[in-house]
This record gives sequence, C-alpha cells and structure tokens, in this order.
Amino acid sequence: MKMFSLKKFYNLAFISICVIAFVLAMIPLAWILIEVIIRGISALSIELLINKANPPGIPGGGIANYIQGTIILVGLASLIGFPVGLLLGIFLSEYKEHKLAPYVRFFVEVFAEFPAIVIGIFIYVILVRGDIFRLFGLEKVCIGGFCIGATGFAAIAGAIALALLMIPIVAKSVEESLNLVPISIKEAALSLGMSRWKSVFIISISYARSGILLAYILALSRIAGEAAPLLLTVLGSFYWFTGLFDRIGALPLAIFTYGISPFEDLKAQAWAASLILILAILILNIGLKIIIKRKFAW
Amino acid sequence: MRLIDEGLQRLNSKIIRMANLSRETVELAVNAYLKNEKLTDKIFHNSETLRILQDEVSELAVELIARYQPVASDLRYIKSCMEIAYGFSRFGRYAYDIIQVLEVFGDSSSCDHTSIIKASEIVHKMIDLSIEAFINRDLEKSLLVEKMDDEVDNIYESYIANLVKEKYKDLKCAVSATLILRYLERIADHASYIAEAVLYIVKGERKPRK
Amino acid sequence: MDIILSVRNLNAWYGEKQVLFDVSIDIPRYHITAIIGPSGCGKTTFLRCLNRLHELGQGNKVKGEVYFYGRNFKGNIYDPNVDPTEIRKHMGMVFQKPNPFPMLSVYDNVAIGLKINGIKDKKKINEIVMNSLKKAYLLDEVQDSLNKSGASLSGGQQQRLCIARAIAYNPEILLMDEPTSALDPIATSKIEQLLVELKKEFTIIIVTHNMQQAARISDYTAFMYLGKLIEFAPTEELFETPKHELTEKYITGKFG
Repeated sequence: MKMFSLKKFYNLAFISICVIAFVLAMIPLAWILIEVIIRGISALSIELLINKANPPGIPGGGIANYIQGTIILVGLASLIGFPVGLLLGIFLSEYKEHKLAPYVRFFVEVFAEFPAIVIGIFIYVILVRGDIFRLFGLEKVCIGGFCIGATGFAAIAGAIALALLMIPIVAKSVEESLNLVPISIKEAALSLGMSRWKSVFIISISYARSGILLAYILALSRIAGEAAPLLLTVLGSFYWFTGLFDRIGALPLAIFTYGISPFEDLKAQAWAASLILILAILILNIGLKIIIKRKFAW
Repeated sequence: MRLIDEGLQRLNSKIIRMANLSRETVELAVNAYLKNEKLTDKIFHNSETLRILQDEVSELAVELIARYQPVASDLRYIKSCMEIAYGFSRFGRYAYDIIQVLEVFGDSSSCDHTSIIKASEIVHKMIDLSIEAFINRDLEKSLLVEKMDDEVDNIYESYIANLVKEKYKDLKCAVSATLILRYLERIADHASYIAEAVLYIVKGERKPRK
Repeated sequence: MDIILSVRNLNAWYGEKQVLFDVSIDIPRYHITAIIGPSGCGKTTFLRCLNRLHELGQGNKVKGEVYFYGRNFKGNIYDPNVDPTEIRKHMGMVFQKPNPFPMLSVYDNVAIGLKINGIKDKKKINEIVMNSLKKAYLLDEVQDSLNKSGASLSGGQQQRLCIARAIAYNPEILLMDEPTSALDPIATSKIEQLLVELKKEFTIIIVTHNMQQAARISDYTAFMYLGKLIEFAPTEELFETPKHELTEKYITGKFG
C-alpha cells in the first residue's frame, strides 16, 4: 500500500513539473500575443488597411503597401525557393548513393543554420551593389532585349534573399517527408516497370504530398517574418509596388522602422502591422493545414 | 521428435501386432488341419481381431494424413501400412478358411499331405521374411520373398495338373487339398505384396502388377 | 515442356555476402512453379533477380544469365544493352505484405500501370481495369468502392488488388513473394484458387514457406537450400518421392 502511494506521488510530481514548465514557457508567448492583440486592435482601422504609407513627416497613412509588399516578396521568393528546395529534397532522399549527395547534404545543413543577416549581406554585395557583374568586368548582362545589372535596393534582390533562406527549410522537410515513403510502395512502383524518376515523381511525391505542402507552408511562415535580409536588400519603401528593380515595403521592415520611430502614431501602426503579420502566419499554418489534411491526405 | 513421430510409432506397433498375430494364426490353422485339431473358435477369434486391427490401422492412417499432411517417406510409409494391414487381415481370413476345410471335410489324416506340408513351410518362411523386411526396411529379404512366391505357385499348379492327369484316389482328399493349397497360394501372394511395399517405402518404386 | 525462363548459373550478392550460388533452372510456361526452402535459402533473392529488382539495392550484385523467351523479348535479361525497366514490364510482382498505393483510388491503382505505359484512351483503360479486377476475383466486391482509397480494403482484397494491378498491363510472368503469408485462411484460399485460374494466361512463380501451399497449387516445385537449387521436379514427384536427401529431410520436417 505504501509503495503504491509512493509511485502515485512520483507520478503526480512529474506531471506537475511538466505542467509548470509548460506554463513558464507559455507565459512570455502568451504575453506577447496579448500585447500584440491589445495594442494592435486599438490601432487597427479600415483606413490603415486600405491606405498606403505616407511619406516621412506627414502623419496618418496606412500599412496597405507593406502588406502588398510582403505578399509580393514572399510570393516571388517561393517561386524560386519552392522548386529548388523540392528538387534538393528529392535528391537528398532518393539519390542517397550519388557521389554528390554528401556535399549537397552538407550544403543544405549549413545553409539551414545560416543567420539571415549574413544572407542579406551576401545578396547586398552580390546583387544590390553588383559585384557579381564587376567580377566579369561588366556593368550589366543583356540577353536579347532584357538587361540586368547591379540592382540597387530592389524587390528582386529581397525575393532572392528570402528564397535562399527558404530553400534549405523546404529541402529538409521534403527530404523528411519522402523518407517516410515506405520501400514497399517504391518497389511496387518499380516492379510495374516505372523508371526511377517516374516512380519518384508520380508515386513518391504523390504519397508524400501532404507532407510536402506542409513543408511549403512552414517555409512561407518562416520567411514572411524575416526582417534582417530585407533590410539589406530592399531597404523599404513608402510606396506601392512599382517594379521588380525598385525598392519595396514589407511588414517586418515597417514594424522595425515605425517601432523605433519617435512618433506615437507610427508606433501604433507598428503594433497593427505586427498583429496583421501574426494573424497571417496563424491563418496560414492552422487554416491551410486543415485544408491540406482534408483534401490531400489519404 | 516431430509431432507426427508419435503417431507413426503407434501405427508401427499396430502393424507389428498384426504381423505376429497373423503369422501365429496361419501356423495354427495349417497345423490344426494336418493334425486334425479343433481350433475353429480360436482361429475365428484371431481373424476377427485382425479385422478390427486393420480398421484401426486404416483410421489411424487417415488421422495422421488429415492432421499432419505427411509427405515423402512418411506418406509412403503410411500408405504402405494401410496396404500391409489389409494383407495381414487376409492372412487371418485364409487361416479361418483353412480351418473351415477341416470343419467341412473332417479328418484328413488319410490323405497325402506332402504338397501341403511343402507349401506351408515355404509360406511360413515367406511370412517371417516379409515381416522382417518390413521392420528392418531390408530390401534383400523382400527380394527373397518374391522368389519364394514363385515356388508356392509351382507347387499349387503342379498339384492341380497332376489331379487332371491322373485319377484321384479319394475325392474328399483331392478337393480339400486343392482348397488348402489355394489358400496357401493366396497367403503367399499377400506376403509378396508386403515385401513389395518395403521397396515402395524405401525407394518409392512400384513393381508392375503381374 | 515449353520453357519461358532459362536461368543459367545465377549468382547474387548482398554486398560482400554471396546468397545465390550457380542457380540454373528452366521455368515452364503457363504453369505454376513453387520455390520452397528454409528461411535464408535465397528464394526471395532469386525471385527478385528475375525482374532485376535485386540489383537496385545498394551494394548488391548479380552475375549469370536469365534467358527470357517472351512474346516481345527473347534473350538474356542481364545483357548490358537491356533496359531493366523494360524487363519489369513483362513481369508483374506481388509482395508478401499487400502494398496498394494508398494515395490512389482502387480504380487508379490498377490504371496507373497502364497510364505510365502510354495508354491514354479512357475507354480502353476502363475496359482493362474492369477486366483485371474481374480476373482477380475482386470486381464484385469493389464495384461500389472504386473511388475509395486502395488502402480502404481488407487485407485479402488489398492483395487481390495488387494482383489486379500486376496483371493489368498483361505481363507474361507473375512473380509472387509469399503472397498469402499475411492473410487469413479464407483470403488465402481465395487467392490460391485465383492463381490456379490465372495460370491459363500467365506463368506463375511463387515463393512460399508454406509447403502445403506449394503442394496444393503448383505444378512444379523447386527446393532451395543455402543459396543453391537442390531439387526441381513435378510437384507430385517431389512430395511423394524426392530424389535428394536434403529435400526429403526438409519436407518431412526433419530439419534442425
């Protein structure tokens, strides 16, 4: 009888410690959430969401252009980041015995841990300042009628920086999802007379499709909130989107610049922008996850 | 020890019991006829026992097949046991037939028993050899038995031929001797079938029926 | 005997370990050949060498010749000029654990083999899919659930689906690796009846550790031990009068 209550006590003690640890970890998280919600909601208004920002000095204005900017940057980044990440993930999972595999893996692992700001600097030097072109002794490179040179602070540079951040995240998640494809499924495909690449793209990808889509969402959520690389590549803008080679605004940048500004109304706008950003990420993660599980899972 | 081995041992014991009983019964019947001993009841009882044993062997064989799905040498052994058990039960039956001749025809001490004695000695030897061949899986002994079967056939056939050629002295003697020799010849045939079964168990080969 | 596969001196390795030693055998067409033997005797490896699946494993090696006398292919499948993918189209494989594609419907599971082989006509695909399901004794049971996931069926049905999938594009040989060992007796018996029916159209090679199954359904039986082919004979012969002492020992259970 005594032994039993001792066990019970240990059990209870352990569970209690877990709960306490959870609560402690959740407190700052909850606090942030509460602060953002309270301050964000009080600053939120329809005008804020519809209007673009005002040039510095003029009070008022909205954050609509920043929202547009984030959407464009993230969208562009995923155009590059997702396919490349997917292909890398496929390579890492399906071609483990290839000569280059250990190098690619090393590359992806290292890149995954890269500080975002370092990637920012890298793109800044290469693309924004155009050192890659000067390396070849050129001002610009023209293919047909399309010329490209040093971009200056530009949306395309920001998109590329975000893409570089995205690639290793997508690659690792895709690899993990594909690793879960049972060998029996792969062998069934091969024994039907499918070539290696067909069995990968038609069968393995199809089997792992919900995992792959989730990987995509994971990566999107990551880069949507990145400020550091954008600081060095697009710098920010108060205007609507004007072109790939022009500067562009983005929510994280707005939060940064407005947040450290001395003006109260701009600070309020920063809170509103934070709320929008967090809501977007939450909707993305929770909402799309539900949709994916319903439509793509089997 | 495989699961089937216990069953195979039981089967083997039944066969050996039948072997000894039938050998004994044939000897008993032939001697009773020659010496005019009234052993009808005992021989009938033995014959019945052999019939019952044959049924038991059959049932046990079927049980082993259903439960253990035997193959190869086990299967051949079980199949042969069924055939051999039939042979031994036939010995009992013919032994009974022989003693019946005594019942019906009565004392035969006035008849010439030479052929019967010759044939019965060979038959007794054949039964002994075929049982030994079965127990020890001895192919040589089984070959011997085949040869001896021909000898018994000859004795029977030449006795008949003689009867046809010369006039018989006593109808009673002639008929009873013919019957006895006939039964002995049949016993010899079954002994040779038992010997053939040994070849089948060991090598899986069958002799074509003559 | 009309031979469809002529294996000559087949040797196979898992890395450094050799698992098949000079196996030579002639497989007769339109019959069921069973391969029996204790665990680790190489029977599954042998099967996987026939559709060149074995060599896909890292470090695996195969040496020897397998001559295939097919409708559209005659020659050594291990000839360096031969594309292994092409060979696999002539041979369907069914595995021990049923492995239908769970992300595809029952219908698509059967159709996929056709689609990847370039058949595009929807009517034709439909005809072949229904026909295959019928041949696999499955159509009646899945009439109303053709759009459900392939994994929503029972174990026995899944395996029959795999069989339908394998026979859809009309291979000449069916390679079966212990296809019923994961199934209950009723499902097993259905599939055994199915195989006996299928041998009218396909040559079937079945690896089984269940000797009674081999005895029930096969016309020829091969006994393998430690990577070597010990005996190959018509089934009734091998099970009544095996010629090799090892065979006798194995089938009567006197091993180990």
